[in-house]
Amino acid sequence: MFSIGIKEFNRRIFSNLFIALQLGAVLFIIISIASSIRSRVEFYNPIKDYLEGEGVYAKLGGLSTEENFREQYPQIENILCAYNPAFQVDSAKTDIAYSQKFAESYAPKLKEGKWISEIDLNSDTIYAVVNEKYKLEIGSTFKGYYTYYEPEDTTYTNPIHIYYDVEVVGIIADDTKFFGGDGYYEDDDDFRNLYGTGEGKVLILNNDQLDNLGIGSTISQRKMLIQFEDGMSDEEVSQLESYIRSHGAVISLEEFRDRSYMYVYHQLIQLFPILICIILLVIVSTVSISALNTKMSLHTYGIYYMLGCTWKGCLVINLIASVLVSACSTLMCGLTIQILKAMGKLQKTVINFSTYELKWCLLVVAGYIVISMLLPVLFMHSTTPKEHLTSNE
Amino acid sequence: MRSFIYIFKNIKVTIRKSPWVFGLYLLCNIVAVLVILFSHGVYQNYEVKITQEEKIVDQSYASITFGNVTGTYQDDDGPVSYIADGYSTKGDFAKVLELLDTDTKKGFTGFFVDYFIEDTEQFSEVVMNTEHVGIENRLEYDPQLDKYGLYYTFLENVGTVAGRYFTQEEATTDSGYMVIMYEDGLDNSEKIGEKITVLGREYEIIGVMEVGYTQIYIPFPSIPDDTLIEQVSFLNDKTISTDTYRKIKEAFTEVYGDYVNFPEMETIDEDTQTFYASIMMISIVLSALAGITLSILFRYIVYTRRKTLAVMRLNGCTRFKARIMYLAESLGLSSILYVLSAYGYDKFILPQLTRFFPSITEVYSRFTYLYIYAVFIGVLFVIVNIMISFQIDKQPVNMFKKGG
Repeated sequence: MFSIGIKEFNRRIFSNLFIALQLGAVLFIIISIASSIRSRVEFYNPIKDYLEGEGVYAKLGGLSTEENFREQYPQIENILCAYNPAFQVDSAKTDIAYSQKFAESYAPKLKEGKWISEIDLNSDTIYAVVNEKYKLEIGSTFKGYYTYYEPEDTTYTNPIHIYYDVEVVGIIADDTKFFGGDGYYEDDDDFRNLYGTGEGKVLILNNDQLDNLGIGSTISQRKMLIQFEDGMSDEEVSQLESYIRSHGAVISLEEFRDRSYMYVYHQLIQLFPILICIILLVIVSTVSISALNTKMSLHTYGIYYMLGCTWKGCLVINLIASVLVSACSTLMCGLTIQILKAMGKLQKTVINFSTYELKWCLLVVAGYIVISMLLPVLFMHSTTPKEHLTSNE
Repeated sequence: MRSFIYIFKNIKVTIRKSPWVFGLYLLCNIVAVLVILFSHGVYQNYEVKITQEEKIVDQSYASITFGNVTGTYQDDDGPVSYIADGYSTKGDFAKVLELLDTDTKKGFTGFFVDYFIEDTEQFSEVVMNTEHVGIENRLEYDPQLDKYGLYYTFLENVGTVAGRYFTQEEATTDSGYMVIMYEDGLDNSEKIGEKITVLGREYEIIGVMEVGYTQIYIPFPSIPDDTLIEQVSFLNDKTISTDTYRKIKEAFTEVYGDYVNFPEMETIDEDTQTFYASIMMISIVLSALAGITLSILFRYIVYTRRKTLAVMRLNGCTRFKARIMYLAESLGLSSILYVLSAYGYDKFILPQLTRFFPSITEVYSRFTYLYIYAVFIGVLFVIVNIMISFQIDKQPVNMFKKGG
């Protein structure tokens, strides 16, 4: 059956390649639109839960640990921030850490390797994601140290360094934006300003792993979102806001949320007509092509039927041919993307291929296969093999 | 005339034998026209938007000042800069340059630094009228040296009447050289090679600037750290992006805190620009997809007529005539559908689209519709021709054997 499927594909190779080209173009459009949608929400989604209710967007200075800050202001419900680890690597200019919880909900675009949420939190080797400026490869190790002072050293004159191995598990591109990578605050900031490319060499660690190793951290002096507990009166909210403002600069969460939401809404709404156009064209072209393909195959299926093959068998042959067309189209689309990438044509676009786009493509391919399976069923039910064989088409 | 009749006969037969294929062909044709018109609109909308944004972003005459704000100034619709009563020192400004990372430095051309010289009399050895004498630096980033050095655009437009200007090496090191201004009635060229002491240190004069330049030129590293800076501006060859602007502000704020006053100026959001570029690419591929689908459908229609065509060929129809017949059929149908679809698009769809793409209506004119029609029919002509070539065999008997 499999070999007949391949033969069937080869028999109309010109048509099939043309259909594959059409499906390849559909896949390219799907990848592009999926990338465009993702690019508009990829920074918004990880933080959207922290934009609910009352609170502030803040850039605060001179803070100690999160515990101390929470003790100082017990009405704080949640803090979304990056941490400054007390772990030093001489070459790093931007060294930040994320909690495991946040790392699980958010990952910057990795060039290669894995994200810090996937590491062994109990390991003695500290796992890090670095930027390209490090010029390191996955698996490379280097030394870093944790500095502490004995309790009796009240003048902090005798630092004690404890050295750890740091292993690179992931690499981000130099122009990749990550949470806490922007340090500049302005009154009209929105969610995009929580992200930046950092300065110089960037080292990103998992704060929970550092905690397990007894390495402390302070709240990063970069920007953060603070949510207040529910049920606070307006007066209490503004009082807490003003207390927090004494540490730096703040914008009310409501103002920040509205601005962020408006930006995302405005961006996505622009895609709406294009999305409708794509859906319309994809449906019309997929149905048309599948129907033609089926119509052109019915004569052959009639012969197979006369030779003892069941209709189910014919459907399997059709399925194999459809899968081969899909494979060709995927190959064409993949090749096109690689060529465009190599030519630098995609550099100034948001088009990218990752598992997110892959899911969309699989959905379209599955849709194509289902339609190309359904149409023969419809045609076969309404006609007899004799009709297919005697048809003049 | 007979061929003309056969076109209608062919259409009639297709409608009778494969009504759904003909329906799909018409539907695809309408969708293709709408998609092509829409894609063109989207593409042009963003093209207009990008051009407009670049035009709107006027970054000229934007100055960074220091101290308390005493007023503002604005050149036409350009950035609003603050007039302030304070000064920076060259040493502090050098710290700002050190804080900027390589990507940020590459993101804009550089700085124009205007120094404040309180005691202008110290230049009396080389300048007759010392009242308006000043020192300025034009600093362009050199990625190879990773240093701020010569501003080449400036050098392309000026020269020296005597001696020479600095080399890149002299401009990026503490060379201790100076280029002085040209003044009527004072033959400054004789000063070349002389050494004078200004700003608390000794400089060697190596050139005299062209007429019209009323400044003294000293390389940035050769200026003492305590020299006062009145204001710093941006060199405008490259449009500064939002990200770069924020990084520059961050570096200044780190050194000066609230003491620095940044101009209010528009910047280019690169994220938005890449988004627009993606949508433009989608619109191109959408048009291509519409074309491919249409040609596949027409190929099928021609395929189903192989036997009929074979009979016609046996009765004297030439390949050329057959080709003309099919082309006339395909292009004629597409032309009628284009007119109807374009009318519907212009009257009913376009007004709705302005909500999403504000500049889209500016894109369409009668000429645009004619232009898109010409492109659409031209592309169709090429594709249909190729399709027909594959379908019309030299020997009618082959077409008959292959059937349909």
